[in-house]
Amino acid sequence: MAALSAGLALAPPPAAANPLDAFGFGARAMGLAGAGTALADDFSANYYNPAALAAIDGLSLDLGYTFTAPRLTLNGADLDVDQSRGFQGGLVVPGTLFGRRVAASVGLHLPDRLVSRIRSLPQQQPRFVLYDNRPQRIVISTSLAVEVMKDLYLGAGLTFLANTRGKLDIAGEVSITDAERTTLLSAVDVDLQAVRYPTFGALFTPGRHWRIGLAWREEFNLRLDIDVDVHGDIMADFDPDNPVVLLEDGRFLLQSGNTNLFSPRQVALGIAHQRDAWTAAVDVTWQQWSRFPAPTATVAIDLDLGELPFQVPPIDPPEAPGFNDIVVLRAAGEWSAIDTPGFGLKLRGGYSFEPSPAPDQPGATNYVDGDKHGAALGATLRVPMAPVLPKPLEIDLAVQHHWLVERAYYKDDPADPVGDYRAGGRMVGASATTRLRF
Amino acid sequence: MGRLAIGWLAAAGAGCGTLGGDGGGANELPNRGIVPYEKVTVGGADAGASDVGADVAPAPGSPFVLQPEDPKGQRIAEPSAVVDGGRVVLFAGVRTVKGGATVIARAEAEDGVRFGPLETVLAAEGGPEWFGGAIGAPAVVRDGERWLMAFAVGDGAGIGLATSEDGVAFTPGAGPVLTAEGEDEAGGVGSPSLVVGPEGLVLFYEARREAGGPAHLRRASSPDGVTFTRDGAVLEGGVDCLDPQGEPETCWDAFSVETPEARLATTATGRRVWRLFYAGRASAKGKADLGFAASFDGLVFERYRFNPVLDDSVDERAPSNVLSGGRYLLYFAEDRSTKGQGVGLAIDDAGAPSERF
Repeated sequence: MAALSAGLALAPPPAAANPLDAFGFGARAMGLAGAGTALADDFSANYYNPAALAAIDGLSLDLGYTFTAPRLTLNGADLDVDQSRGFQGGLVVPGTLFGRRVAASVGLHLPDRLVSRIRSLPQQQPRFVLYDNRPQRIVISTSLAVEVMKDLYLGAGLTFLANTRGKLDIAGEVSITDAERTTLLSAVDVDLQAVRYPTFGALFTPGRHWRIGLAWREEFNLRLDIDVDVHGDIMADFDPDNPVVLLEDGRFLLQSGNTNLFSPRQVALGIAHQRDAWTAAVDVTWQQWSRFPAPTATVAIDLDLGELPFQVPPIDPPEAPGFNDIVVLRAAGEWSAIDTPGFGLKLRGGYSFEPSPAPDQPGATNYVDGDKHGAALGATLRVPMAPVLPKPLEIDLAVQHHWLVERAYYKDDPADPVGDYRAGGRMVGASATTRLRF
Repeated sequence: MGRLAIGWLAAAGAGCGTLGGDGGGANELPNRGIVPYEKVTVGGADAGASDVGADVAPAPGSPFVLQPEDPKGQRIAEPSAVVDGGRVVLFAGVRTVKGGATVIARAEAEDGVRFGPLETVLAAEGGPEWFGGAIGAPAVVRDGERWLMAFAVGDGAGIGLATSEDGVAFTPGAGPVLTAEGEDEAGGVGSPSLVVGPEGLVLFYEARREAGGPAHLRRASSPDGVTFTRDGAVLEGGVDCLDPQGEPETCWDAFSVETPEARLATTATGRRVWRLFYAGRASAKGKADLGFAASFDGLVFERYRFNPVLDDSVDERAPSNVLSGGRYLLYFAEDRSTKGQGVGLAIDDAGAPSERF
């Protein structure tokens, strides 16, 4: 009697990752073009600088929605890159402990379409590599902050993610001549392995006019591993009483690994100056894209079919993408146009420049990206809600426009399957957040 | 009026295929027109009816878009396609099986698929002596308002040039522009492909070192369109091929490379690239398949690494590639033992065309 068992991995998408690098977190930060390392004063500090949470007065609850629609083109044709959209919000709970200001917070980006996506395309297929998977994921982060001395705050946050690895085991008997004599049993084994992604921050507020922030965000890299393990015997039941074993202890083992959910290690320095009704801020962020792994599946196949004349061709590993570290610049200004105990109106705008970490693509890979200029406008409207609410309601609104500078890609091989192409485009986004303070 | 249904028979490869499920980001990917080509089958009940008035009617289910008026008594070979005002004009050599009379004829199709009747544009009979009694393998290009046609003469003796103001009546030159000479061409020359380049005319052609032996591809150029100078070989039979296990194997075009068709294209970045479709054979008795190579200078060609690009169980030769209506059309001569012989068509309409020619 023949027997066969099989192992097959199941792969539900990973639980979380980080689209905030791409489009920002919260309407106020979007209106500042992301220059939030020194200026964050709401739930967005979970991402921009956890230390700033301890400088926030009063409990606050934020809920909003953000939307970014890309139009990214190759040779002028829209690739129909997916929108990034979802709910954003958070809770900030400040207090005092041993006479020092402390705060705890949770921040959330909850996409309303794709909670997460891992898509591993062939390396030769052109794709906007930073906008393919990266914006399509949930973010849940928690932070703690404390005032360690006068005007100096420290904070730390953690985002919990999950690597995924699982198996579907199939065991049974396979007859190639009589399907009714084939029996299979299956079992599922899936693991979600926790990944911790820390963020640290410091905020220094000397005097009334200056805020200096420093944030460190660790890299993370989610994995999705798929294994297929089939082994056993195959028989032929030409004579039910004397089945012939065609293959004894044959095996097919496929191991696939995906590492394309990547966010680089980052160090951000922000300086803000506040004078009367005006605030100006500058952010400089270093991003370590040189550690970006190939966003293509690695596959290893081991086939042992005894004497049967089957072979599996070796699969070339993907080429290293060779990305470069970059420095992102952001500048923003904010004007408090109306500031009464009840009503208030702040207007803001910002600009950002993000050089592309992706090198030219003269070979087999087509990881497309370009230098990105961003411009943003935003406003905060504060309206009294007494006696319904103890403090005024704040509404943040923002719009942003990113331009990907058109870039020409030249291939070394005149017979390259893809050939030369031009890439560029724009992304238009908007965000609205309402804030309740208590 | 009839209707012609198109059936897709086979994919020609997937080197640039799109994967990735339903997510966005993969629409309108750049397409050079190398792969994937899918062969067209004439499938309608009244197949052959044409907007331009067909009396050339491939039978329903025919793999051919163009056959000679007398499929049993004539052979049609080595098509050359030209896009003219949205139409595809297809030139081809037609030879009478008995008697060997040869002509070059043209047919038109508004959609590149449904061709009208063949009209003779040049005949060997009554032609000048240097025709050697046989002409064929036309390669037609537009040069401004003028039509230029290179063609083979004398069954390997040489290559001639003819001009036309309307693409219908061609006037041959005073003599061949190239005659077989030297060891590399001792077995004859033929199957020309003509390119109007920035420095003048460029002629690609096949040459044999011995009659009936393997062919290789050569090039000659002419600043004035009259005197051609040989530039040497541009493609020889394939070598150094490896199988999927990394072991040496016979290249698909190891024995012979034949029937070139070169086009000077402009890439999406504005760079000039020479495209070359050709037929290759692995052995003397092996069937011919179609492959692709390209070059930035027109002298040194690199093969497409997933060759052949059109590989069927039958003989495919003499490719001619045009871009029309946002689709790449690849015409070729095809021999089928059961369904005869004619001009076949494969279409590549994946993604967005990225090269213009």
